[in-house]
Amino acid sequence: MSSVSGEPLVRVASLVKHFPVRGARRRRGSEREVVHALDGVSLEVWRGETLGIVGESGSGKSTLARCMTRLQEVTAGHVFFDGQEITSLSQRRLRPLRREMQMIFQDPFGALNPRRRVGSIIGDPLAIHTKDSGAARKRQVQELMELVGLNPEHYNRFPAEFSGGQRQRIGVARALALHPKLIVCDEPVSALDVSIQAQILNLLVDLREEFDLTYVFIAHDLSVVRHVSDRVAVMYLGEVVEQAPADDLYRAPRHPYSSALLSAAPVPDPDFADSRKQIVLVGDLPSPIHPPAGCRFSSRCPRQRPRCTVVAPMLEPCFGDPASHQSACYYPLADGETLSGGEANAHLGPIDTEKP
Amino acid sequence: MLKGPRSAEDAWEEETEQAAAIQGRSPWQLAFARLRHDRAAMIALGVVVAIALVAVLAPVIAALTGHGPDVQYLPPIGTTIDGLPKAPSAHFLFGTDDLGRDVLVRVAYGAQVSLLVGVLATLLAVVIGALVGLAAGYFGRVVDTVLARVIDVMLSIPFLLFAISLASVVSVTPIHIGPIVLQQGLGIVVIVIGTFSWATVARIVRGQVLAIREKEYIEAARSLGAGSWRIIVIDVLPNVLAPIIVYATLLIPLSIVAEASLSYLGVGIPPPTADWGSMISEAQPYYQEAWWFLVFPCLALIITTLAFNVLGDGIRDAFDPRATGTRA
Amino acid sequence: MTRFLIRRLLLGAFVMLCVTVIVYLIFYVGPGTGYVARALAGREAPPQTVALIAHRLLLDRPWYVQYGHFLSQLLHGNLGYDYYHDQSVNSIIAQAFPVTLSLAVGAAIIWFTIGVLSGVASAVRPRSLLDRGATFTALVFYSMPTFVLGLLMLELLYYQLTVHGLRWFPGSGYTSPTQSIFEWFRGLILPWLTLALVSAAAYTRLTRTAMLDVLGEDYIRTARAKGLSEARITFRHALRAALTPVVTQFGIDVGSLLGGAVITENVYGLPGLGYTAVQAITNQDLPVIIGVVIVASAAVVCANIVVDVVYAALDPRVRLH
Repeated sequence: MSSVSGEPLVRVASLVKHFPVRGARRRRGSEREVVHALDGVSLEVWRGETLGIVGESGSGKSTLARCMTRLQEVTAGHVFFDGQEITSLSQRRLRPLRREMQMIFQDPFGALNPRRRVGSIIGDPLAIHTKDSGAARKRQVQELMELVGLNPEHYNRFPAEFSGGQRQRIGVARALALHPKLIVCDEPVSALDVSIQAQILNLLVDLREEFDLTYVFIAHDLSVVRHVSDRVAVMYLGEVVEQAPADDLYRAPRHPYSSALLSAAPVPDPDFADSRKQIVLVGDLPSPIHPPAGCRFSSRCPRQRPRCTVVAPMLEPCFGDPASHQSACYYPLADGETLSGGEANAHLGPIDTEKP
Repeated sequence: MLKGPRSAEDAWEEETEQAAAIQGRSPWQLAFARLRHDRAAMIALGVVVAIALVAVLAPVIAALTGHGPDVQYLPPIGTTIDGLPKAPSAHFLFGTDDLGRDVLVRVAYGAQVSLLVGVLATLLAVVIGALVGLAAGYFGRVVDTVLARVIDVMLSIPFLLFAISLASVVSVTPIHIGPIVLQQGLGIVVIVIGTFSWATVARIVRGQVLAIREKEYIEAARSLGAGSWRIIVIDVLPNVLAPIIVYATLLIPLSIVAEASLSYLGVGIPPPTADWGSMISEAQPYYQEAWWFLVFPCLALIITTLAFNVLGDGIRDAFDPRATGTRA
Repeated sequence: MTRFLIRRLLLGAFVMLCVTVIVYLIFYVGPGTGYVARALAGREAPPQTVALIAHRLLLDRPWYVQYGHFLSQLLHGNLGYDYYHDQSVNSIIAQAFPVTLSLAVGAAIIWFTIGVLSGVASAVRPRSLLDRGATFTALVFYSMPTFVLGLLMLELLYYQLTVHGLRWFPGSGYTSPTQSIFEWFRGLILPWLTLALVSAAAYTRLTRTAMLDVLGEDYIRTARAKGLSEARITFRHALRAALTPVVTQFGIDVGSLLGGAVITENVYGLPGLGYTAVQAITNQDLPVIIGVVIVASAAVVCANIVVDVVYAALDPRVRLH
């Protein structure tokens, strides 16, 4: 994988984000009801690496992305970018920093203004942050278009005239325009056809090499995340339940939830898929307005014991794992152990030939 | 230089390139094309242009007939010996009115007033309404609450009653509110009509902006570091422009009718300026003896309003073909 | 629900307050104190009367004191005194209101029925002859200013008929229903038609658009697939959904009308609020003008509140907002 160096580029410390529930009755004396989107998330993203963030809907991954880039204001906690604390900066002071961190959005149809021409959309960051002339901007935009695999002559086309994959390329070009340090990808391939997904992922990987980018890659599809990430963080109901280098996580997940997610990832060989034991989680997702005491996953966890519902476990290495592999569980899975008691490494499927 | 991988997508691209060398039309061009094929709308457009021409060329018409709009011709040329209007003849194509004035020339000059007030009042309403609607919709919270209340108040005051009350007071004495002075004339008619029309525009715009605000491309613009007003003008406005234009085209005939109503009630443009509404009001006592005096200004008013309404409908259909129930 | 109602009423009260401020500023403060006193006293009044009125109305005091007095009078239900007719404004308005009410309600029923029915008929068969005919007729009537239509009706249905001996309709004037229901009805037919035809046109268009939108929805397609009859689909399912914007508009329109259909009342000589207002304007009778404007605004505000509450009762989502 690519080199990892020095200070973390992004550091998230105990990030809390609560959304007020609209229309809820205000009880006398008690607090307003809130949705606990993020409850104390702490992460680091190192320069040059790709951090994958996975979780199901409602886990808070999109909220995390938006809080990281200050598209949303945080309720508590801090975000540090390149050593600088950005959570309390005014919008004006924040503006120059926006050159350094960009976002790629999920919906290729919604992320581009249908009434603007593509050249104008891609050139927007240049128009906002630089004083380049129109001609200079056009030149740069066309270079970018070629870079992401679009025909530069389509400069004056409208987004409606492009396919989903191409529109996502436009989004990538826009994010790349100012050569940022960090790009946060919020489920960039979730809305695309499977065959197109691979192309966009490969594009992102190639660009990372070329421009020395740092990615935060958010997805709910594990196989996608695995392909691009150096490290992966697993989120559940607003908290990080496990973080590890990608290989370690896939080989030996410690947290029961990670294991369950991995077992649900489809494998290409249908016979093998039938033969392995699927882990089906019982129970419902708890309400994000009233998260359970203790470990939030405990209501669905097959390994749950009384201790789990009292105090939430801390995120720390277990079983002698290196500091890079942390999980928040009182009864983590040992090497080779699985939730269902089935074959170890069943989730990996047949011998893995993808990794370089 | 990095090139994207060769794929089915690239092949598709080449195909569409050849096809699209001809295409590549913007949403505006598409709407325009649809409008051009709407025959009723095109006819209406022609009528509107014709009326505008009449208005502009009113002095020419006056010169051609040799009659000015305010010139009263004494009996027996202008009126009959009993003082009644004269019927249409070769000399007076539309006949004369009770003061012996040429109805044709007056109708032509009346077009000037109607069109001027209609367009100016609409412009005023649209500019104010769009600004208020954009600000209320985009900035939300406090700004929205305050502006929404203002809109509510404006919509609660009955237009006609208030307008005529205002105009009547103003016709006697100018009104001073701080540094602003309101006086009789074309200006106050435009201002009053515009003031009562902007609230509806603002409401429409606000609704549209609220719908657009949550879209991802607005979020994307914010993530790029764009300032609020830049987002409003460059990203929000183009998507809101279509309903604004549609409503503006329908607002013009409403303003024209409003102006005519004010003049009919005697509180619009003061005489002797030729104005369709006041002409109709003056013609009322004579409708038995001199139908032409009443009919021609009525026809002019109806035709103008109808033409603008048909045009407005056509524009609305051009932007949103679903509404007619036709194929898209 | 009660919370919503209370909130809505408070909002309405606030809007009325703003209206009174605007009315006050424009009519009392704007023209200057000399005008107000003279206008109130009437044109013929001698200077002593003018000075007396000026003093009684606190016109020699600062404007906020005057406004305070004005507002407190208003809150006691006192709309002022009309020196011109030597009556309280309240009684003038009380006399005029039933006329406006008769006009508004009758016309409203007619235009709603015609408008909605023709709109539905058009929408059910788009682009047909019926649709095009109805749409065109609606367009023509919609483009006619009320006074033009009124004059036309007077000319055709009153004058021409009367000249030929058919005294079907009176030319003007109003008869109270307490005197003669028949005359009351007869006197209102033409005004009702005038008002209704123009408004019906707007409602035809509105209903048509709303119906077309609803008929294009997937659940209508499902209903058809289930085998429901067209009539049932049209009226029970589609119309219900389509009526929401129409009813909202209806509430607002009726509210506005209750403030006085100025033009119609003037054309037909019906002594309602609108007619009274125009008379007052000709006489520069300020208290009546102000009284009518405030009552009309109150009617609109009340109508809006009713519409909002009905809407909230039907659609619970609105209450949460």
